[in-house]
Amino acid sequence: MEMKHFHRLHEEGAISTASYEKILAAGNSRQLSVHWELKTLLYLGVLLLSSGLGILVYKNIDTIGHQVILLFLALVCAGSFYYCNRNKKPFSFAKVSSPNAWFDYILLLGCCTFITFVAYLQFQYQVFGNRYGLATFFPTIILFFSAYYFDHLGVLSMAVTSFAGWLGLTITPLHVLEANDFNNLRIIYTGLFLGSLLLLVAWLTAKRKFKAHFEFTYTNFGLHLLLISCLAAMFYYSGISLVWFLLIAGICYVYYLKATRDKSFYLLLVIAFYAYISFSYVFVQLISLGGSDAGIYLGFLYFIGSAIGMLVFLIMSHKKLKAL
Amino acid sequence: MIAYNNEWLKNIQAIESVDAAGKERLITPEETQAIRQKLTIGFYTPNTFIRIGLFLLTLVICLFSYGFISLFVMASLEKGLAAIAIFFGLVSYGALEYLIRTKQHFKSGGDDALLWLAASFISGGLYILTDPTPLQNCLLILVIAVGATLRFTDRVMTAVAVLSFFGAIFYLFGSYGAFFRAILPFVCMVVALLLYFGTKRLRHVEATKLYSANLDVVAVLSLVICYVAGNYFVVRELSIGLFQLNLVEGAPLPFGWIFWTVTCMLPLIYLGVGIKQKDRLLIRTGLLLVAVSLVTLKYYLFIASVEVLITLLGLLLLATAYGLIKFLSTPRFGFVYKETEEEEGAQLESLVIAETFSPVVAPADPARFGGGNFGGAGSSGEF
Repeated sequence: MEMKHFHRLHEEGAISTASYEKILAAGNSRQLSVHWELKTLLYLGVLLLSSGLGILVYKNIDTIGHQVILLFLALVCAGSFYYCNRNKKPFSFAKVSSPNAWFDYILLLGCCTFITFVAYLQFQYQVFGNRYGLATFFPTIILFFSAYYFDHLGVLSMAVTSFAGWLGLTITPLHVLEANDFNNLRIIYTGLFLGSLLLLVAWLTAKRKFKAHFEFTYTNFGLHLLLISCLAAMFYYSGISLVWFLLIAGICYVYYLKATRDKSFYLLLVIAFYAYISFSYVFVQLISLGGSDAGIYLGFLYFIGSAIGMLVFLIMSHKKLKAL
Repeated sequence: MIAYNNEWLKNIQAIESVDAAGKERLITPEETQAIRQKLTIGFYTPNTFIRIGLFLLTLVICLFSYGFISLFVMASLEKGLAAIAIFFGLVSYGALEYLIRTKQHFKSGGDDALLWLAASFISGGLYILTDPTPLQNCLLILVIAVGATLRFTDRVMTAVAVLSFFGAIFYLFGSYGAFFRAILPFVCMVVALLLYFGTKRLRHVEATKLYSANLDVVAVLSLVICYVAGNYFVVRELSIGLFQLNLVEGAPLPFGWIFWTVTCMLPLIYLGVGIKQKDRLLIRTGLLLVAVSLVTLKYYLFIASVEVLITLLGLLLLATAYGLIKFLSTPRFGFVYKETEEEEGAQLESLVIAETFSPVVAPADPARFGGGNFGGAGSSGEF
């Protein structure tokens, strides 16, 4: 805060003398809030502790020491959940704000150590026998339960990615494209299924007001996954790409309406992105049928023209959404 | 000097201050509302996501236009393309000025893209045409970036300017004898510190009020560069790689203790001074560099079990954070821990959590227990 702005505003009469004095007093006893710094420390602490314990168990799996480590892991996990259960606010289907940032990260620690613990039990004692899927599915259920019970967006995101992992997909934001083999039909169809399922859950979440603020997480994962899978399918079946293009166009239109309704600039940008890629693919495919040099010139002109078109579309939509 | 409407820029700063005061209930909502009405801002500044979209689309339009024009002069080789690039950069610059003057664009994505394109096209074209030495190239980029910073207050351009400035010093000293190479780290550190104190001075000058965000960039970068120039790893590897210092594998650097002292102490000094002066910039930079120093230490000390270190460090961080949160729940020594809830921040945080904590997929493969189940392990690999 710059005092000179307030000085000027006070002189112009925009700020009352009472308020101005409050500002001056606050300026003299300036307090720095270190909320974000401490949150970062908490985040790093949980990240280091949970991964450190994970590696410790893994590396010492055949030694005597591993039982001590395991005990420690179990204690951390149980302690975290015990603390969270003691300190949580009463459950409600509406949004429940967390007691404090410490609570959020301890819950995260509990969930992470729990996953490690289950994985260890499966490896050492085969508690789930040969049903390896169950060994991934069981933690997923616990994650979903914790997310709803303690109302934690981060754990919900972990649960969704873990569920996708159970189906054989990686949907963490930075790895969704490189870790999945989108030339594989099974992956494509799993993606289509999971994406649709997540969007359905998102819709129900909002409609039934069942933790309505979770809706965005489901929509975000679902929409990206569904549209990426559609694009992959379009590239795969290049003979009938028009069918997939129409499907993408339909999805984008539905979510364009939703973006307008929710005034979400993020959704608007996302669907514009996918729609543009799919349309450009179809167009480039069409002009490359000709196979002549003119096609190259046409391609360049297309990208210049279409990008101008998209530019106008974004500016207009922005205006429209802002006016709502 | 600034292309944007200065009055509106000042109003943006004033409204930021007023909003901050409003959040702390120092002024009434009615006053905030009235001030917002009074201080007009005529800029076209869309939402962040729209800005990203406009930025990317402007890049597509310009790059394809450049490609299209280049198609016709393909025969005339490199120099011709470079000349077109310079011409294109000038056209982008013209478009940028036009966009700002007539359409009042400010941080709209379009102006960002045009500025970066203009700077890249012009400096790239000049590079090919004149074939400069690295030193000359750094100076060329420095001139363009400083000009762009002064005219458009762009923070990325400021960062480029600082980096090219130190690049110039690096090449200047590196090209002479062994003595100059030996004192290079100290020269960089002294210059960086001077730059940092320079920005502190400049903040009180009326003419730099609209450049406060650029001064932040210069300050942080000069603090980081001052540290990096004295960091043991950086000095050792650069001496071997670029200056052909003959060191046996694993042999210590001559006068290594100086650089070890800098590596260990400087981040703590930043942190200490930052806490004393309540300077958020120093505190954050200090915290970041503490982490960098830990990685550096780990690299040379070959600690047998990294995982024990990670676990203990995690415990220590959690305990510190817990203690500080309890301690600062009531304001003490000018510091306070206050919870602020932000919807968008929470969404972004949840994505970061999903990215860093989620188990990696490894279904139906019992042999790969470890690999599949510790998502966090990868991110701590370099520790």
